[in-house]
Amino acid sequence: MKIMKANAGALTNFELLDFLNSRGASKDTTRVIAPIARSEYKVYDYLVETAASTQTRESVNKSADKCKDFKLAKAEILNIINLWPSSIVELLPVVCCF
Amino acid sequence: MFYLSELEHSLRVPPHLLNLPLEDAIKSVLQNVFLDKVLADLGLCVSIYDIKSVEGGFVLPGDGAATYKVGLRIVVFRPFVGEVIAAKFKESDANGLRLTLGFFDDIYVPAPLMPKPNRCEPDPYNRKQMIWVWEYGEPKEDYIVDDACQIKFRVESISYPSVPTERAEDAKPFAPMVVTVSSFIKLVL
Repeated sequence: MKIMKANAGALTNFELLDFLNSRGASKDTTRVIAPIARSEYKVYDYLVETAASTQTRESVNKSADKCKDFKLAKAEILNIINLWPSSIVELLPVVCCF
Repeated sequence: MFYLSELEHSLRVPPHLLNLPLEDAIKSVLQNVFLDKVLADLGLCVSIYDIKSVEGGFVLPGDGAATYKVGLRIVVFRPFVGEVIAAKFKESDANGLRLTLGFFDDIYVPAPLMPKPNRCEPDPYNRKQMIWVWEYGEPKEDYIVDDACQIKFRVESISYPSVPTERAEDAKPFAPMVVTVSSFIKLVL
């Protein structure tokens, strides 16, 4: 096994949830039929509980565009999209370095 | 939290999979090899994203299976230092907390990185666990860390301990990837 590129791009939680949905993951009893492994279902269960389940591609793109005005690092924008903070308290740990 | 990694791997497709379309057969062999395994410095492999190239298909003498060289991309779970993630409380002891993400359990909050001021009390119901209590506010209020909270933490470091050669009988199960975090925000579910 050879590693060609250790980092070929970051994925937001929303993109991974979209990928699993397109392969047929879902919350109900059709789990046995879809070609998704049990370990992948554990990740799916975690993602469905985060803010990623309410996001759409347009909302994520819009937020990323708006963040550009604030000169944030790419990692911070990724953090914000994954967390989807709804108050300043939730936003502080992302942008302030302790 | 999740990254794509590009790999190249030589694998052997066993003969009982030869009736499937080639891509499906290769994907099922790849899932057995990579899924739910930790690759050193890459992270926990969560899913096979796609197959970029397939070469080979030679059958070596004395073997019934075809060998392919496959270029593929996998999705790995690898939090970066400084990332803020929400997790659930799993267990706690005198050294600190242990949190879980459902698919990944080895997230530790060592005692020095807990939100201060705090204190640690022995759990009256479970002898091995300790209850951690956060004292905050004027006048001081006690916030108990337990199952009801969703804990947001910030990643401090990730380590990949090497596979041990000898172990004691009652040692903890070996964790190939350990994420050390500091916790400082708590949301009541």
